[in-house]
Amino acid sequence: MFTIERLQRIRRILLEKKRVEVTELSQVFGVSESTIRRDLDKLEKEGFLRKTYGGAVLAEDSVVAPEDNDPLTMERTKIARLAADMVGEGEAIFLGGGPVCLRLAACLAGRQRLTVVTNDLEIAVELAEAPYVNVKVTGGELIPGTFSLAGSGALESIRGLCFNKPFLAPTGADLKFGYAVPTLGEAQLIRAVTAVTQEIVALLDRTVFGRLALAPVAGLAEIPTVVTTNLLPHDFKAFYLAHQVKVFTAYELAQPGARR
Amino acid sequence: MSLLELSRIGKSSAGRPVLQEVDLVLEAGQGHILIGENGAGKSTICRIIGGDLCQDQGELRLDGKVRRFASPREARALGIRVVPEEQAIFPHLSVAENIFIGEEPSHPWFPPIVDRERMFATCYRFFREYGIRLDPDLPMHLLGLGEQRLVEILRAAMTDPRLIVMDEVTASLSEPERQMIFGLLRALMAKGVGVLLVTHRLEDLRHFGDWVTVLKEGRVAASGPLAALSLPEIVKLMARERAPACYPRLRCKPGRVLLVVKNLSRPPILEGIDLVLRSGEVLGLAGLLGSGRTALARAIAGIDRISGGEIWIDGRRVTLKNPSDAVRLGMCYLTEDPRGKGLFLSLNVPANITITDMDRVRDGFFLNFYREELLARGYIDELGIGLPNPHATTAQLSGGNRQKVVLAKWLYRSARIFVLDEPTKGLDIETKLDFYNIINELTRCGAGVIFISSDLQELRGMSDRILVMYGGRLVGELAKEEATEERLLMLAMGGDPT
Repeated sequence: MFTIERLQRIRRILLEKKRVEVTELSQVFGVSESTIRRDLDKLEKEGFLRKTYGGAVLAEDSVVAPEDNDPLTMERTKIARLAADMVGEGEAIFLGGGPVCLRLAACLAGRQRLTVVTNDLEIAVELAEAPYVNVKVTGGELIPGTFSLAGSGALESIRGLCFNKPFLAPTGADLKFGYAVPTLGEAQLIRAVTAVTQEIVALLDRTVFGRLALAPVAGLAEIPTVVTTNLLPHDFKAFYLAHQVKVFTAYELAQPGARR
Repeated sequence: MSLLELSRIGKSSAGRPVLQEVDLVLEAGQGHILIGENGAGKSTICRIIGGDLCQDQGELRLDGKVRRFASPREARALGIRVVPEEQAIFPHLSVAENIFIGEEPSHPWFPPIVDRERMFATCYRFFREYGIRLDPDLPMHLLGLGEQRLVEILRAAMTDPRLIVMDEVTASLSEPERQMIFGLLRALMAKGVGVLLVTHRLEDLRHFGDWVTVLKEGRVAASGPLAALSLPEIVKLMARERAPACYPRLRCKPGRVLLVVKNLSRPPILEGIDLVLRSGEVLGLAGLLGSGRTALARAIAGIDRISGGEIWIDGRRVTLKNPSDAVRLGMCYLTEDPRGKGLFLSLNVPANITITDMDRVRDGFFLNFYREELLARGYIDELGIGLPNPHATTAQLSGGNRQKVVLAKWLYRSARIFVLDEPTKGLDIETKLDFYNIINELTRCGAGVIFISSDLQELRGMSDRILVMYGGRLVGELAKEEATEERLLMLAMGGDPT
């Protein structure tokens, strides 16, 4: 387990229990007590907790950094990690907009010989410092309030391209109306991308299921692979099974030491 | 007029058709073989003939008369004897008592007590006539598995049968026992008894029977004289062409070697097994019941002692004296529904999970229940173990959740070699999907998985490589791409690997 993961889990435990003990945590995580003390030091500097004799308590005025504690963030990271394992060396992938795709980009930053085409400026920035990833950004105009590009310029710039795998994160998935995104421009672009490839992957976090959005992009059975977590609602799972959709659910089976 | 005639038999279970328009004709004195893959509907046919189930559509005729059995007793009264797949014996009664159970000969006078002399005399006479070397007075539990099965067949054979139905009875027998049973059946057939033999083994087709019916996905794929069909043709008829599409296997690059087995033997069940398991790999193990696949899994997991060969873990040779040796080396073994096997049913879930490494929840002499709960909570949430209430014992969980608890306890123990023996058997398809994804995650974390399954679709879908066992030996290794159903079946059933 990485330090960062351990810190997150300590935060979670502390938020729940309000107080922790060093010996307790060292046994829970299977690391030495001094490691835990160092972790607590870090968290104290952040103002998250106050150290006590042999442990720590939650600081009364602790401002919880929403990024790190948000279970949704953890979920998205899990999905992104699994999706990253689907990407092989030398492939060309398309990354749509949205927070899950952004995390996927972060997971791919260390890869070699990889081409990423995206319409999301945040993703481009995330990959800006990745030395061996070839990044291509579509043209088009910004969708108000987001970092995503769409429109005729975007369509123009992916014409003639072919992808090994496009990763898409629709904002809505409905049993009847299928996957959808909030704007027509984005939907148009996604449809253009999916038209030229077979192996489309949909990345779905818990916010997506049962939500409607303006512009439909594909039926639920039309995207052959989905990556999600065990929060996948029952009726969706049954639907995917009935329509032969490959469902990957990401787990985080914290095995100290075994994770790469 | 035929002895037994099934015409257009249909049967559904839970809304899913199990049998569809099945026709089958069995003449008196005929040895009829019913062959088909797991789940093709063979056992359902046996149960319909035996009166255990009633068909939804179609007719069953015995001696030309339409019959509808309301109970096995009615079928029995008409001379139908079924030897079921699952063993049904009274271990503490004698062989003779087991044979005559329910139909003991009684003294003619009052009170009608059991005429033991006549019972034993009948046994002796019958045994001598057919060359059966068994002592009728011996308690059943002293016999080997093969002999116990023989007694079950004798129970059918000695009570004036007209038709004997045997559901995969030969699977767990040794060759001499099998030959003895075939000899007995042939003698009965000569007297006009019809025999319906359900089997999985091609070898049986070489030694027995004159008619064969091939069942595929609840329908009759072919039916004809055994001489007219070659063994490869039969296998081809059994195999489903459909490629497994929706199994979510995420292949990892195989890492370092975790486990090496060299020339492992445990006569007469296992002979000369060699295998290598790498981290990040799912190694499928195919084989029929009685092929030795479970014996191999148990030997690797240190449950059964081996008599020859070597086991290497992480590049070091190890001697596994007992399961805890294997556990210490990061190995774990998971069976189908761990009811009573692998779980403490009267304890709650956290206790079951943390039991594999008590040191982490112990403060000196006492257990720290708060820490136990805290540690277990992570696994319960992550694996989605559904608890009816927070303090539920594992006895109150469903089969799928119980199976997840067993996985959780080995994850907690940081096991790296997972030997999964039919882990998804009897689970609903949605829980199976969870299981497949957990297997993915195990390999992503660097574990190696040995995956045993009778469901060939599942095995092909989830394995990176498949080893096939037959008669206690490895008879083939197939890469995922070349493992067609036909090839797997051919190897597993003891056919020519071409």
